[in-house]
Order: sequence, then structure tokens, then C-alpha cells
Amino acid sequence: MRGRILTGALVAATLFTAVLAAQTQITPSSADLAQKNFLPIGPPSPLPVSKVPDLSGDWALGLGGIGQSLSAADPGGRMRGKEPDIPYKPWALAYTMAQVPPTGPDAKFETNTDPAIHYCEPLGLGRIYMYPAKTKFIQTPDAVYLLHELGPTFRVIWLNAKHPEDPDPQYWGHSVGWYENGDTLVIDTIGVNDRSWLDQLGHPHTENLHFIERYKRVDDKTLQLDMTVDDPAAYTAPWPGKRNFTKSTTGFMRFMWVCSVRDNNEHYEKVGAAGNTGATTFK
Amino acid sequence: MRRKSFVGIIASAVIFASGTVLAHHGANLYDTTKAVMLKGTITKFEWGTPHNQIYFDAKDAKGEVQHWVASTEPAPVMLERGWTRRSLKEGDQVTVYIFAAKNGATVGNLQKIVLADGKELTAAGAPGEPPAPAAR
Repeated sequence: MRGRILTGALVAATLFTAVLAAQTQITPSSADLAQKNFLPIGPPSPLPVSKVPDLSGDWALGLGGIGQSLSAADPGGRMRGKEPDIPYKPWALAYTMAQVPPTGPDAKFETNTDPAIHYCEPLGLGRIYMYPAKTKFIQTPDAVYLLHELGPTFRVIWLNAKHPEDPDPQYWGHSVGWYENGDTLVIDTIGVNDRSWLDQLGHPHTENLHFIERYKRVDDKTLQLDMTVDDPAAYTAPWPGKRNFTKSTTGFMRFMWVCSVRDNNEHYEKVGAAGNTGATTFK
Repeated sequence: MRRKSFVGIIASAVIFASGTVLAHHGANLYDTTKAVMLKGTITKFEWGTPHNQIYFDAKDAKGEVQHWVASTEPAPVMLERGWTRRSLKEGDQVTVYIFAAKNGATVGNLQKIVLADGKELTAAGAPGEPPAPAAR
């Protein structure tokens, strides 16, 4: 009897430990990484017949309300971890909540865990549009070049092309694109490394990320972007993000928005440190 | 507290927190429910990224000069708001509206600055739009 109780207690303890470990796991398991993407990858075949929309202009994200989160339901980032449209896997939720964002309602700049601020690595897919910086499209017959004054950095979107079978994981991945309906550029990206966040709040992605962007020219001054996160290793279903661009007359790259670890540190020492109570740990 | 009694608290109807404020690094350090008004003199204007810094002196209740630093969004964003690196210069007499640090330090997030000739330079919300409702 005593033995049974002991065995039961041991089993319960083991189960409890396993549940606790599962709850605190902040990386995907090999089973997570083995899952197939939800959505078809790459261009449709045959490609849609479409005239080429004119995407020229200096496209700016609106001032005063660009948002913190990729979540279409919670762009302001006030429901971190509870967004109705983000179907987290447990590890992805645990990872998100373990991060300290640099901006937004849950920000603590002095202790932030943001890889972009600490290392000035490329912001990556999705997150590049969490800042009020401008983007320009250079359209050629073979490729569309996305130029971002934030970074600054650029992406190559190959037209009339397919993804390689096994692309090397990189910050911006491998992107193919095509036009639809005479007004939309669709970009399909895979082969992304797992270093970047999807937004300011620390939403993770894995190397299995399949990221779809649809840039629709709504009118002369407006470009609407619909994004889809298809990462079955981190989320149990695809989920959406949205942004709107308007044309800027300020001038593209009039001031290059460089990320400098030195400038980040100095800004904190000049302003943030004094407002922080207690020891600063930013560096 | 002494500082606040001197500079006066501007009613939240004047300037509200906006989404932009939340985009500032360290915005949680500041009281974004009300802007503080300070009359002072510009001592330095740093134009760049990740944010601009505006240094100015303002007197406290005892008449002693306090050294303030106000932060704004980065230069490329302030260009969209009509600012340039020449917008402020040392010696300019200004009225500053700022979300000040909760702990009483003389730092904060700039909301608006009014030059001696009455010209206003906004640092929050979308240009030409009314102030956004309180963000939190």
C-alpha cells in the first residue's frame, strides 16, 4: 500500500514536472518543427494574368498610430499573449511573455530583450513595418526591390521564379512575387532564420515561417498591406497582420534611419536612465 | 512635487497620450496622463536616431535653474512633422509641453514646443489631426 502511494506520488511528481517544463519551454520541439505549413508555398501555376500596378512613390506608415503588434486585432499591443487572432503554441506564448519589449504598453527599455536594439540586426519580416519609416518599390521585369530607409536595408523579390528546394535560412529569407488583379503585388517568402521578432512585442517565428504579403494599390495615395503568418512550428493556424501606407512628400532617405548600438546606448543614458528608478541594466 | 507646483499641470484636455508616445523607448517611465508646461531656454538640440534630444533650462519654484532633456521621435519621423535640424537653436526662448518622468527626474517625452514667435512644433499624434484619445 505504502509502495503504491509512493509510486503514485512519484508519477504525479513526474507528470507535474513534465507539465511545468512544457509550460516554460520557450523553443519549438522537433515535433513542432516537423509540421507542414498550412498554406501552399510559392507562386500559383500558371501565374495570374495581370497588368503591372504602379507602386512608385515614397510610402510612409502613418504617424501617431503605427502600432506595436503584428496582430490585426491588437495593433496597439494591449493584449499581449491574449490576442484573439494569434493561435499560439504553448512554447510560442511562453516565449512571447518571457520577452521584455522595448516599446508599447509592456515596455521596460532598461531591461528589454530586443535583439534588434541590442545587436542592430535586421528587423525582419513584419517588424520592419512597426516603425514610421518609408519604403520604396523598384519594379523591374525580373524582380521587385523593396528599399527600406529603416536600417537601411533592401529585399529582392524574384518575379517569374520559384523558391529553391532547400534555401539557406537568412534574415529576409527567399522571396518570390507576382501581380494579381492589376492592383496587387503578392510576395511569398520562406527560408527565414529565426533570429527576428515579428513585431515589437516579441512574437517569435521559426525557420519554418512562410510569410505572405499582399500590397494593394487602393488609390493614388494609399497602399494597403495584408500579411499572413504561416508558421506551424509556432502557431496552430495562419494569422493576419495589416498596415496602410500613404505617400510621403518628405523625400525618401532624406535622413537615413540607421540602427547604432552606440546611439541606442547613448540615448538611454541621456534620457531614459534618469527616469528609471534604481540601477540601470540596459547595457 | 515642488517642480510640479511651479510649472503647473496642464489639463489632459490639452494634450493626450497617443500611440506614438508608446512607441518611445522608455515611455513607461513617463506620466502620459498629463503634459507639464515649462518655460525655458534651449541649450542644445541633438538631431538624429534613435531619437532627438532637446536640452533646455527652466527655473523651478525657488528660481533655481533645472537642466531638462526632452526626447522626440527620430529625425526621419520629425521631418514628416515639419521639423528640421534647424528648428531649434541654443538660446531660443520656448514653451515646452512634456510628459515628465514619474520619478521626478528632469527628463521626458516632448509633446509640443512653442517658439517665442508663437510657432508651434508638434511632436505627437499625426500632423494636422486633433489629439488622439488617451492611450491607456
